[in-house]
Amino acid sequence: MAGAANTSLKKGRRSTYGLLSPGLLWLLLFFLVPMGTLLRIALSTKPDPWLPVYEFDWRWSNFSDSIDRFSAELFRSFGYAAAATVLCILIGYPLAYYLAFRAGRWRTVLLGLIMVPFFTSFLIRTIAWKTILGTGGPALWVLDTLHLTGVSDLVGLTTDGKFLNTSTAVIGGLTYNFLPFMVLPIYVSLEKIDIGLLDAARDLYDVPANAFRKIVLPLSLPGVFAGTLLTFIPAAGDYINAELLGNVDTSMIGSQIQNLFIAESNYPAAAALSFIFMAIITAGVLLYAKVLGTEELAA
Amino acid sequence: MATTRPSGPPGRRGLPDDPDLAAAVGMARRLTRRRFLAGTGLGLGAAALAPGLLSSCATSTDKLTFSNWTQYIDEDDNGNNRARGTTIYEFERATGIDIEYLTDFNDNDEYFNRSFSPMLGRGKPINADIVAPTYWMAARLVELGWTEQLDLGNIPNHRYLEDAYLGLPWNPEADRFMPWQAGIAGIAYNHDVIGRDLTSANDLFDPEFRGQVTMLTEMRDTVGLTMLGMGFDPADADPGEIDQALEKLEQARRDGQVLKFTGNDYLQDLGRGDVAVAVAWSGDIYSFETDADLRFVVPDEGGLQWFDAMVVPKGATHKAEAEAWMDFVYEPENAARITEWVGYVSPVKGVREILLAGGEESAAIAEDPLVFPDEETQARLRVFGTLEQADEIAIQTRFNDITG
Repeated sequence: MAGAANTSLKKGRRSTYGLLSPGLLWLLLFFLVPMGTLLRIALSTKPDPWLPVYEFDWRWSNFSDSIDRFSAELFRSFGYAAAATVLCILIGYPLAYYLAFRAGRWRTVLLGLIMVPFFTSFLIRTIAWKTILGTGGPALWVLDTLHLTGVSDLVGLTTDGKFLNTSTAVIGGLTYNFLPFMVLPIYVSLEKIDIGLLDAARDLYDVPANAFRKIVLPLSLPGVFAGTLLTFIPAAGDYINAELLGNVDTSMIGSQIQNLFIAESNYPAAAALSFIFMAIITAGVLLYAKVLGTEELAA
Repeated sequence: MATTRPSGPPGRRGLPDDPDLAAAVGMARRLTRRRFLAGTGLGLGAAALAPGLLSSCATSTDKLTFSNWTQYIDEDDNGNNRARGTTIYEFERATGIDIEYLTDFNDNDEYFNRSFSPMLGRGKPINADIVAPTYWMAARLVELGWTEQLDLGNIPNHRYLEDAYLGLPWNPEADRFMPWQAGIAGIAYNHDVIGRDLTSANDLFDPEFRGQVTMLTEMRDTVGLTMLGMGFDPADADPGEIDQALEKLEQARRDGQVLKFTGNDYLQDLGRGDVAVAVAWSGDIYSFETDADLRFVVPDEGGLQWFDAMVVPKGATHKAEAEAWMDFVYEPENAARITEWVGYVSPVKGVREILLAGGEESAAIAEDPLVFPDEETQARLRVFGTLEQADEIAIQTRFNDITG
């Protein structure tokens, strides 16, 4: 019996691998091989920056040099991404909640509206914020009309009465650009919740706040988890927002990698910095998954 | 002229009427390729892996291929650069040579790391028979031995090359490059914001404009203007003097004087008044449509002259056809047609005279000091000198640390 089960399992495995092979091949060709090449370059020396020749010599100092030179940008990237992610949750969760439970027949229209901006290029949308936030734009007009410039300076929303070209603008741009990636997964997990559970809670005389805390929130956490990953990872790697909406002190790690790669022709340092960035993100995601793992929550 | 420039400044066709929106679309077009090639750290990783793969993906044809910057040749009102009466059309008609005109040259360093270095550096030809890198990149290619020597016998119109381009240290005979268009890096300011005229390169460092100054990420233009303000000559490219200029820039950044370092994207900020003074390119100011009173000045201490130069990469398969093209666009009539549309400084003698004779609209361009700087201005223009490789890397690295 056990033997038979075993062989069928083995057969199953073989066909499983057979079915997986296109995907595995894809991963091998377009992920593992490039990663290997990247790692090799990260551990190499490029004796002449203008010739495509690399000497593989286990040059670990590429890594330590990159950390020394770009630690500020690394911290900044993760800081901005974290801030934008938190803002996305604060804005996105109520939005998704409304869509899932309250929107009624407007739901499809509203969902569509969330997606509509994506028909415009990411760049155009970000550049549009320069007009919105800049001098003569609506954002400053509101502040000026309400005579709130001093207050907004005080709370750090503006700097010297300006929105544009500040770190606030960068975080705002990141939040704006990645908000739908937070809203949609949360919406999906909220939408799956059986309304009967809430009815049951009410029947048992639970207060709505408790029903939310004990039923809705835990059941929607997988959505928050997915949304956080979808927001945080690209936000940390993004630098268009920092370049267009920020100033000389808001540059993120992506532009540094590009500079190393393109302006300085320093592939080894660029590769090492990419690796450091990926390693930190991977470690962070694993830690996050451990703390807020989806399996227990789904059960 | 067969093709007159559309009503707006050059390169504006196909853009929305609203100036802000037009600027946004224009900027996105300029930004798109370069910025997204690199993308995120992850995307960059992938790009780093296969520069050869990337370049071999580009179109490869058996035709003469010219890889140029975008919006750099005359088009008809519909944005078609092959329409009847355009330079490309006339060239094909006159010579019977088919030309593939690409606009995939977006950035000197990017093209170098994507195509020149991985291909030419391994002794393989690239897909283009003519490319138009900026002068310092052209000089680098010439010095690396990655360009073909031109047969000037095939280019009789070489005699129309402006004298200033003869005798450059990296190619005194001017037989490995032919300038495509030229321009000036100087200072642009928003007169509405400042309310007075600026004349000095040091105005960039005036505390009055603290936090309202942008500079270019193009190292030679920003460092060069700083040097001119300090009384140094960027044409000497003395590493010690450059170092002092970098010192000054670093200090300016620490003091909050410089808001940011940019590509062409300073224009919108300048037009809106978020930026008061900027290191700027003459062609940008010439073609930027705005209600604001933007002014461009070549500082008293001098400005930076740059030019993009056509070169034939080593091993190009259509060298003779490339020379026929160069000869054709150096015919002053043809050069004038291009100038009228692109609005840059032409390296070809006799263009101004043709434009002056070409009717009102053309004559206006001939009188534009940004397109035809007068002799006194011309005398103040400097071309940044050639840097040794080690110096260039060290300077560029330090500059990148400053620009953030």
